[in-house]
Amino acid sequence: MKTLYFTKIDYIRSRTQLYLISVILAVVIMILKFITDGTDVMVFLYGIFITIVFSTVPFGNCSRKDAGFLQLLPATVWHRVLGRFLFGLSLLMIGSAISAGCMVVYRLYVGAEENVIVLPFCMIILSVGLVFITVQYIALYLVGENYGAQFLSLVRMIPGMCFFFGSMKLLEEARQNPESAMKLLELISDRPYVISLGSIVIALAVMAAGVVLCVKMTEKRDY
Amino acid sequence: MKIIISNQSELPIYAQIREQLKEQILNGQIPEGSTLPSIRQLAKEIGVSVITTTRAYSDLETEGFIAAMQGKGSVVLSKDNSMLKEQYLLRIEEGLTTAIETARVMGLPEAELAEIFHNLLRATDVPGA
Amino acid sequence: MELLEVRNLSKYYKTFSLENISFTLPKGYIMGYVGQNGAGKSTTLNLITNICKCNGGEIYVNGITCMEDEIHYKEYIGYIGDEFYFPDNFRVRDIRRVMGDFYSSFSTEKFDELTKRWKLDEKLQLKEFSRGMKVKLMFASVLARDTKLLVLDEATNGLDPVVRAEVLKLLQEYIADGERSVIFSTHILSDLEQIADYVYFIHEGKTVLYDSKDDLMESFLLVKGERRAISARLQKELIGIIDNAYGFEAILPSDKADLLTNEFHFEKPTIDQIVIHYIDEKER
Repeated sequence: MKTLYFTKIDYIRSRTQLYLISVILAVVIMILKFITDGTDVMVFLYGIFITIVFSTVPFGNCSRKDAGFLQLLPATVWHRVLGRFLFGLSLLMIGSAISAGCMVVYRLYVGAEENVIVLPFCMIILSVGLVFITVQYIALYLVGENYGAQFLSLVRMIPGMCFFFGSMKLLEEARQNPESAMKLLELISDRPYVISLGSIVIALAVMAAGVVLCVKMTEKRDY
Repeated sequence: MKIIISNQSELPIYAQIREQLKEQILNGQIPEGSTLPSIRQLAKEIGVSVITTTRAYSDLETEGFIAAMQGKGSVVLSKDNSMLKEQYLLRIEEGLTTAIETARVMGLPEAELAEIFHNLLRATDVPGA
Repeated sequence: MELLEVRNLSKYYKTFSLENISFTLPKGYIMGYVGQNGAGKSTTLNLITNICKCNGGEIYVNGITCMEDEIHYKEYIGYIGDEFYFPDNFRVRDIRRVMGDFYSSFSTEKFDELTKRWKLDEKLQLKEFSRGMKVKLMFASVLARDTKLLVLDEATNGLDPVVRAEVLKLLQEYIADGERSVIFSTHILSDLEQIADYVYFIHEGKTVLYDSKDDLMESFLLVKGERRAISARLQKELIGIIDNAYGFEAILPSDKADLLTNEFHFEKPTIDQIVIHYIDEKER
């Protein structure tokens, strides 16, 4: 229960940013309309990118002085770290739900052909998003919950950027090597559920390992 | 009961409390048998530390003005109490000594001083006492 | 019964270390923790609240260490820092919600009563609050639940005299039932002089003086006079002789008062003066 209370604190801290996700996505749809080769998957991709960036917000509000509040709450490091990861996880879920909604809006508004591999594709994007959130949480816990603020302003864009531009690069690559891209697409469309579920499971496992690692780091930390 | 703490006083705070309570017990403003506020209550009210009021009360106890009663708090003792009697006698002696000294300074004969004393006694006589 | 017991507490930093701090604070009393900036006051208090971890020694609050039972240990403690520790974009109602979630003893009624009494705006984001309001909010959040020990780190800093007096009153009310205690650090020593039962004086991470405040204040005299009147024996006993153009000022243990001739003027010192002369002596 205390874990969820920590998640709740993170939501209270980042509530303004939460509204922003939908606003930004609306803007993205508008922009994509004018890009000739835009696809609905790009809306989803962009949604996940924003979510990854915003998932770091609770670290940003967390400065040394907050210690008197957060660290003194009657709970253990486990509660605290797990609560933070649950925030990241649930935020990503909300983010992908909003993104999925926007995808539908995009289809209705701009139009795009039905495609069987869209769902597994989104699942894979989601899994990669989870792994990115895990990696950046580990990085932020590594610098310390309480020293995160300055570091964060420097790095918070980086993982999200890597994620977004990495995906773009992949798309580009796929265009230049249509054959290998086709092979990959075939692979996915052969077993869509195995692939999508498998990637989610792997991502969750990575996240679980990340939680353990972060708890160990935080337990050792001293100021 | 009233207590005024002065920071200018050379007397430590616990002694100020003690003396003011003593004064009020002796002149009857705090009647015998009445219960004083608890040590913690008093400390809170006048804004001093608990140890300070504790010390004032324990001084008053050793001098026989009050006694700590289980479950009742600190009670002002009756004036028949021997230690308290001593305190009263001491005050009477002090007052009379001042009178005698003043008389000596102006060279008043002993008989006249005694007469003043008797006249005053009669003048302040409580009817029926 | 001891409420707080600190045994041989040590903490080492690169440029500073806290060494062998030991004291006890019984139930129902207030301890003032005194020293210069950087003397180790906050470090000690952070070790007590377990914000930092010590390198040696033990701390017991109401009989348990943080290692034994972290949850109860933290529930016993109410902490108010010199910095406001609630997130800037919280509102009063968020604090109420979070405190209610985490602390079983948190009383919403008590919290509302305090925030109403102090006119703390429900709707304002906390970054809009003044320093006085922020301190009051921290107090409200702590006093609305059942704690055993209040740890205040320079909590009265930057408060106007009216609010400060109010805070002191609150502390006295807090300990009035004789079951709870307060430890507070401050360099506004007049606060301490009023309500503290015990004084712990620390300098550069080491204990200088530790006693009940009344005994401490009685065990020293503030001596003033001309420098040349100081005898060799008196010179040895005087602590922190500070010269000015027309004379000197120092403190002297009261039991050495017989060394004073009538060339000197002496009076009872304030805690401030004891601290100033002790630090002067140490820095020599």
